[in-house]
Amino acid sequence: MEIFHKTPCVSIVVPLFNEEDSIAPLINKINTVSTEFTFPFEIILVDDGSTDATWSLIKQYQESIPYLRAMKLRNNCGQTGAMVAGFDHSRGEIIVTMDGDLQNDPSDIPILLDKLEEGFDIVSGWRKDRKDHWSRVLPSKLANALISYTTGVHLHDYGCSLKAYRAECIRSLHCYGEMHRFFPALASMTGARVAEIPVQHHSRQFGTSKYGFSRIFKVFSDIFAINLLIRFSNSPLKGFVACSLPFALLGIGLGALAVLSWLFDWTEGKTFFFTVGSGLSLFGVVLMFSLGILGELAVGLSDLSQTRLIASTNHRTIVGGVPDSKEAGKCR
Amino acid sequence: MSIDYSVVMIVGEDEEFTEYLLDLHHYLTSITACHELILVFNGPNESARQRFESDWPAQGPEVLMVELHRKVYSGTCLQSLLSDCRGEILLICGPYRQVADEGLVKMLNAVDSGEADLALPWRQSRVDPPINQLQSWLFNLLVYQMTAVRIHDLNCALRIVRRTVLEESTFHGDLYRFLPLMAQKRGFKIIEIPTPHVQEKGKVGYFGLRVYINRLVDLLTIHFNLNFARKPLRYFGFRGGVLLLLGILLLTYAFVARAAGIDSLGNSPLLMTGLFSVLAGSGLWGVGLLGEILVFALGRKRKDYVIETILD
Repeated sequence: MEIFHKTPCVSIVVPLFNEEDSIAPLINKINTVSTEFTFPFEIILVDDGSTDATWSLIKQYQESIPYLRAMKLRNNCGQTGAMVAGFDHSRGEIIVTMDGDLQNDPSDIPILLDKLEEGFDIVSGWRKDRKDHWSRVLPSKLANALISYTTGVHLHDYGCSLKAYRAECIRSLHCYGEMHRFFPALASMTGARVAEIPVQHHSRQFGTSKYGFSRIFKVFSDIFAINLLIRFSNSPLKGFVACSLPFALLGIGLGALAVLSWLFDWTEGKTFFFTVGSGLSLFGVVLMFSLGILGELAVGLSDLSQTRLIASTNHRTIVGGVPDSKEAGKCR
Repeated sequence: MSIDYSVVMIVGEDEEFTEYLLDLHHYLTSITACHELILVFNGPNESARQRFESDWPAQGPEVLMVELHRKVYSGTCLQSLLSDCRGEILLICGPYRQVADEGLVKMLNAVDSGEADLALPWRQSRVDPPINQLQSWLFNLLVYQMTAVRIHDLNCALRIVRRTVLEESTFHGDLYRFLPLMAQKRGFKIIEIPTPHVQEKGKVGYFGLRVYINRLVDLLTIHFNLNFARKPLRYFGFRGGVLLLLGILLLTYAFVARAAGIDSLGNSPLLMTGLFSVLAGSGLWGVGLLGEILVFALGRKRKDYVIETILD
């Protein structure tokens, strides 16, 4: 067991919420696959405010498994919060995330790590043969297509929790809210290289899904927000100027009509009407500009630019070091 | 020596509070709780301070007196005082006994035993005028409707709270009143202890338009903070989107009607209504986008989670 006293190279982060039935098989599966590992590793189980026996079971296992670490969150703060808690307390240079409901198969972890060694920063699992009902698969496919198309990071399965990350890459993102689906797209902002490989998928054996139809609306709303952030968080004024263009066109058009109606004595009242319309539209332009300037102020006060610089510097090191080497990304 | 409790009494008006502070001291001494007494004058209050100095027994316990140079919100007052408080549990109260001591004992026990991180009284058999009770009831009902968190009595000044709750919850400005809601959102355990109401001072009836408007604005703030603080576009985007869509439909109809010769563009109210709608929708949507940028740029490092236990 000497291996477990070394600094772990890989941290396997598993958020759990009311998964008392899944814990035993999950740990057994990870234990089985870990026999193939030739590097130190740790499992981090994050109890996301479970109300069943999840935490007491975790405590029992933790006493007998030296590489198992665990944390209990005070309340249910969602999958992103639980994952980020795991990231923040992980010690590995590589972080693997997976669901705790046994739909992901830990035996896929070595394949993800092999792919990461090729020089990628994120390797995302693709549940090519999904075992879910079509009512979940269809919106998921639509969302994946939309995220891929709009963000330019083409993945078949953003929703698959089984992913491997270089720790520095994912930690520097400081994710929040419900961003876990968008980790690869967000990481692409920093120039991270993203790959995807097919993984196994099993239907849910225990418990119930924590997803409902209301989530679909939220996911689509988030896709919109993430796209805006990716495109414009670095230069918000540009985004707002783009939004102000329709107002500018309308303002100019209505202004021209006001001038024409004044010059050619159109029906009484039209000049005033068009002038007010034009003024309102141009007010929209001013509003959008002002919001954009406030956005620039916020970005200027933040450390967003520094985050990007760090990430891109690391990326350059990888490329300029030993590109395509088998050594790239290996734990030392 | 470690301090268990910090008694923080906040005094605003020129009131009599010495006896109550002494009673609290005697009670905490009787249960052998190591404690400190902090008396805060929220705003210059020369006469009350002098009276207290002369009334306080010469052999009485030590009291840390803090006199703020101007009156501030209770939350601001507590935040500035937190570094001076040495206790792990804070007993925060107003200048007079509002509820029966039996309730105070239960509240202390609940926080002390770990049953709760924040305990607040639920005043029973209220002694304040019915008009005040009605307003209080309506306010608490409104809070419940807007936040879906059922707390029956947010208006009592007495609270017993674990220090970490104050450190990890957001209660800037006048939001201290809503601390239990914010604390619950952060995963802290809240308990309401039904307690006989014994005394109430202050205004009766109409509190003034400004107070009611401020309360409504606070409620809106807390509703937003609880539900959309990390996702502002979900709040503004939906409302803005509806207005934007309505405006686009109206404008489209106005222009199509003009092209088809059905209606005049210049004399139709549709053009102006559509414009207003598009403008308002875009404004809301833009504010949501700005909110997203603000959260992303400035609030990313704030943790969404609170860890209760770590097993290493």
